[in-house]
Amino acid sequence: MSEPLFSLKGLVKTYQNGEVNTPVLQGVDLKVEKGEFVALMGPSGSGKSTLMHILGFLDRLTSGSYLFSGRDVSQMTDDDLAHERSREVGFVFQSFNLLAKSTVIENVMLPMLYAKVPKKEREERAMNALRAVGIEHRANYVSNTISGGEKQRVAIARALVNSPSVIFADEPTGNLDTKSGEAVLAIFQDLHEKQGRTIVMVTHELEAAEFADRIVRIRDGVIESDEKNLNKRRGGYYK
Amino acid sequence: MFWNDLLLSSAQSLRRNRGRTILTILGIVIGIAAVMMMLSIGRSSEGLILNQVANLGSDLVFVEASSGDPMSGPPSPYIEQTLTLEDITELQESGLFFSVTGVVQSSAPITREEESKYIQVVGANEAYLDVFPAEMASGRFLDDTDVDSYAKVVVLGKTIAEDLFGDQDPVGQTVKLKKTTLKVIGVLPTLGTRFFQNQDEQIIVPITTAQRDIFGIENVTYIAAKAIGDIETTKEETAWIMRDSHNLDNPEGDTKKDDFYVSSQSDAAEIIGVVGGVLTILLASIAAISLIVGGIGIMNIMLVSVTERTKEIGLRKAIGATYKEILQQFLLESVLLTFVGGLVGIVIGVGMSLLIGFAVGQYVDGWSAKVPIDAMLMGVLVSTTVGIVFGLYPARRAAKLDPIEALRYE
Repeated sequence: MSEPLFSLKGLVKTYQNGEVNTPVLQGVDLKVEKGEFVALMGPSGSGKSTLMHILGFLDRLTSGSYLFSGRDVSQMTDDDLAHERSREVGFVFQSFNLLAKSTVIENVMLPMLYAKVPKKEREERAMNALRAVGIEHRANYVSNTISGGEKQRVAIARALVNSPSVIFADEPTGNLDTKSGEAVLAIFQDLHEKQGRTIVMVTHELEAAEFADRIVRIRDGVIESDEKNLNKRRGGYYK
Repeated sequence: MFWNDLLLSSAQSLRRNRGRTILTILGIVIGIAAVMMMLSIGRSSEGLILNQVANLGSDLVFVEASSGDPMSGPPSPYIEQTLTLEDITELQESGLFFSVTGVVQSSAPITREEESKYIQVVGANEAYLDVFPAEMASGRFLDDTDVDSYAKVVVLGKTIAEDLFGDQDPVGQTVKLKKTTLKVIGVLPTLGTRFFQNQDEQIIVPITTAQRDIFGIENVTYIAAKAIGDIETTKEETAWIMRDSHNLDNPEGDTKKDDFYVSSQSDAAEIIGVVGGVLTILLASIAAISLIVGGIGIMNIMLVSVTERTKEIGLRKAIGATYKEILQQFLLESVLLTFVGGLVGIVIGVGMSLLIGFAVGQYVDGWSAKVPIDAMLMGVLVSTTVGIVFGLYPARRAAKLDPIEALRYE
């Protein structure tokens, strides 16, 4: 059997604020295999976002071990982490984080700039990513002129475009109405089932988490439960 | 990140904030334009001055009354007029010169019928035209008989002849200088300015007449002589003749003890070169201050821009931008700002220099606007450097942002 994508052992994260140490993660053990769709659940302050940041190379762990595809992340330099973010992960944020004055396709092409993809390849790959989330007709719109649901689809296309090993979604439906939220979740499900993408979604809503295969609950910096989702919800037609 | 992508995205972000971009580069534009103008004016005036000095002739030696060497200390407020007609004779007999002329120079009113003018009067001897060569426009120049006999004769400069006589031929007519009536014997051609004196607005009378009858003095303002041999040796010899003639006790040849000063065209050029250089540096440094102010303006705006775009920086880092790539992006933006500002400043500065050159040229003979190419290159270089220096701090601040905090920033 091949290496798990993530392998955490006794992961601890402490924030230092002057003299005060605030423990956020207090010994997390977690394994995620390639091709899983995992929901990280927990109330605010539980440490789920911090866990996602560490998994996504945005933050460093204080102690414990984190192996990504068998590689030791704690030994990586800042530039290595930036490199991993560019190749291995795609992020989808609650507040979309599109460059407001750039067009949709420019936003999707942005990660390829840092991944040093040749110019002529970028547009084609961006269009393919937009097509995969059903928003290719908005390619040349300026991003602050499209709706929230559309923005989040663009953000997913942006996360997809470098074909990363894993997509992280941080409360992806938090700023959306129910209908657009479900459409976004259906896209994740689709990417997972049809393309075999690995997806880790942070959420505090059970309805959102129920789209995933596996639900990991975190409370006070430790994993409270980790089980297969038995009430899997299915998204409708989103295109 | 590829450099052309970086350039493109920087240009794009500056274009999207067009109003702010223009306001930001204004400081650099003004700074560079000011430096360009100051350098251009400095060079033009230096060119004008050197041109005037060159008109003096490179083989001429000048002797003037002085308390010591004017290069070695502050000028004395009072200079005793020590040069006399005997000095001229001594130098004529030295065998060092082709020709020697003494000059008495002052101003006085000249009158013909109702017409009256205040003009420069030059008292000279017959050798004057050998020292400062010129052909006569009409009539003749002074001769030795005129000088020896205190003749009441005058040679007119071109402009004065035209002002007083219009279309008539002045030769043979009379004019009144102060209270002395003089007969016009000749008119000089148009000569222009030499060492800042418009020779067309001068009249020339015998030096003897000028001393005794017009100004009532015994000294000579300066002596000009055309050297035969090497100019530096001739200057040295001249000084010894003068010390002898003035009975100075100065065996070691210390110029500080002399009551005269011997100079040539190259000395004048040297003094003026030093003065011009200092002036140019002064003007350019004042202008350079505006560049620093402009640079601080750039830094301010870049800091604002970094703060405004905190979220964007966070996002760029989240999708894989390294420290260096963010640093390059913001540095390139500030350099682009100052580079464009520099180019616009150069265009405006050159335009203004030409305009000023044109305006000054209307009043000052021999002024030509100089647009120094090296200053233009320097302008580009300086503005780019300002961009790097003042862009570095904001760019580092952007590059050092923590991606998580940056993404949370509202």
